[in-house]
Amino acid sequence: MLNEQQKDALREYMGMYIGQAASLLSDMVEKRVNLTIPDIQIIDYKKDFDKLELIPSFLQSFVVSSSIEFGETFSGEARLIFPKEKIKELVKLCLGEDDGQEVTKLTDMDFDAIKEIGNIILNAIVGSIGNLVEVRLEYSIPEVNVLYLPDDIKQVIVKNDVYLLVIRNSFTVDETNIDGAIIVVLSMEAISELVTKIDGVLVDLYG
Amino acid sequence: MKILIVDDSKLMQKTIAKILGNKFLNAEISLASNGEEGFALFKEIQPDVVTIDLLMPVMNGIELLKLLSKEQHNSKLFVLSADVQKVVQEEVKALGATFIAKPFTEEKAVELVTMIQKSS
Repeated sequence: MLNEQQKDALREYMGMYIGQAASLLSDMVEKRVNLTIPDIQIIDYKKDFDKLELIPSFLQSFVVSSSIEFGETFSGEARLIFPKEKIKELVKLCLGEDDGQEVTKLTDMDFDAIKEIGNIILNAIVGSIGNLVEVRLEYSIPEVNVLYLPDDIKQVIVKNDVYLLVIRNSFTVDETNIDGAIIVVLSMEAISELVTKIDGVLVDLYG
Repeated sequence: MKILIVDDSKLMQKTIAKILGNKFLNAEISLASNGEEGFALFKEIQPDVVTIDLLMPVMNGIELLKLLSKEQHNSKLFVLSADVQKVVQEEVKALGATFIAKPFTEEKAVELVTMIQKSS
């Protein structure tokens, strides 16, 4: 469905937007954030496919997921996922607080912090896509869920279009062992608009 | 000085209140969790400064700004939002507010405080 030039261009744009989002995360935790190159797949949702491929191995357990849905015609959802046991450490880094107490239970404030972190990171990516395709996106209120992966995978991808564009990336916060992942899923109409825009860019470049 | 903070995130309410409270020692700070509460409080207390999040339940920040634009007031309006869309930022400006992008870092806090001091 996407040719190699389109995939390459899409990977480049997404890499840029995820890089900007990582920069914001880096500002919040005051540490370097190391990224992988985004993986782009078109998924045929109706057929059986190995959904495990979407989930990195470090997330195959209890995770905390912060997500936003967006758009009506240009629609999709974006999700920021962390292993549940890393959330306390991440929130402490963001808030710059460490009272030295070993509290493992997640509090309302932890969930609020993750919602806010997800809001900032995911807006940076999705909003940039909106700017690229020149479509104004309306967002849902961010949601935070605790999931068990891969069993709860259907809660990670809830869209039921025939084809979905899945953009996947993982990252590590330097000097910590916090890994996370970002998954962006776009509907068929959104894919079509995005590809049209990218084709316009490619025509300018290659003639 | 009267400050109204409109944000559905308790974390952001606390963060902004702490920063502005430390800088403006005698400030009265009021909190609202959505645009509807924010508008009601705005009419009640007539704040000097309002900080507004955009994405909130019940009534969002743009809807609140539209209501405020119909009121006679001298309040200084600041939008603190993660929304990077240019069209949204332009709309915020057109509705008479200054846009500050989240995350609300130390530098952004200094920027906000400086703008408040200049306006008062």
